[in-house]
Amino acid sequence: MFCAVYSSKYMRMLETYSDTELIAAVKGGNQRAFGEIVRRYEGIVASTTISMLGPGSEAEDAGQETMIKLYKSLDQFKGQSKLSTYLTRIAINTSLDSLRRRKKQMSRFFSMTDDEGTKWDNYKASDSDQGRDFELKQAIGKAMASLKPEFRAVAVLRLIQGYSTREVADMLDIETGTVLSRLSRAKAQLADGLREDFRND
Amino acid sequence: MTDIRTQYLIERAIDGNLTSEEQQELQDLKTLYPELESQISAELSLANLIQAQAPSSFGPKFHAMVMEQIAREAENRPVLLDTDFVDRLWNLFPKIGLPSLGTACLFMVANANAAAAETPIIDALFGLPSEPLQMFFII
Repeated sequence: MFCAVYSSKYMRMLETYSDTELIAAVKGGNQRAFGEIVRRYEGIVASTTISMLGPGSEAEDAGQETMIKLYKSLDQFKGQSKLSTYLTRIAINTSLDSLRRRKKQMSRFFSMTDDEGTKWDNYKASDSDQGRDFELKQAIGKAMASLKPEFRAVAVLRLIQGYSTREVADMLDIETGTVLSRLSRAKAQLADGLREDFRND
Repeated sequence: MTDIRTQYLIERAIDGNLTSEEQQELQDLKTLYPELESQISAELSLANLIQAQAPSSFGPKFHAMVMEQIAREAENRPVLLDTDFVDRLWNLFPKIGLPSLGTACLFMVANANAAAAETPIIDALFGLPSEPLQMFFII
């Protein structure tokens, strides 16, 4: 009883910690502080990996891998960028690695097909997704899945995470001009995909 | 598809970061291409729509699964002293270390002056009672 009360009070206290304080606590061996980081940034990682890989175990694995990579690299994190930016960079690169692995597997087994679009057909509505919102989420997911990985990465970072084109260029290690041209094509393709999807409905 | 410069200006406009020169440049482009205005608002709507509908959670088990793996990782992870902690410790030295050192010196002088001391230096250093140390006789 005492332990449960103490634990919940401690967790509430961690919620008030800044990212810097949490990182210092994790470096000192405090795992609960890392738990608070996971709770705080699950949304950002989920929106990145699910938008990149589609819903399902692959995205969840990439999400877990992202968090583990963050934990392992916290000693090198000196706070030059925001923790959310650092984490997003890990998440996007982990997702791109996952897509490369998938492509390699597909080339090895001729019978395998890329099921990115169909993943969204099997996507289950959560309590917060109601009616048309759920259909819209599915349609956006399918439109995202139709983009090439390098275009999708730009779209996720710019449209979903809201980074500037320069920040996106830094994260993906490409020129700003390349980001702009990929973004322009991705937006046109997304708009066409969504228009098509809702015309069919 | 728009050219790169126009796309750059559209993105800056969406972020609300246009400089006065860029604003003028975009205005000139809008005069030349009136459809640009509707393109900007369409792109802004698309961005808002996609952002609002982005998945925001992996589900209830995610946190526990990550923490399970972290616990396994932590077993193999050495606990490193935070640099802030080391700095704080170092800053404590003048406040605590120096007075302690001074007190130790006072004790040393007082002990060294004790007439009964048979090994005055050792006694003075360690504040030991005046017993001859066997080890020195052996040597």
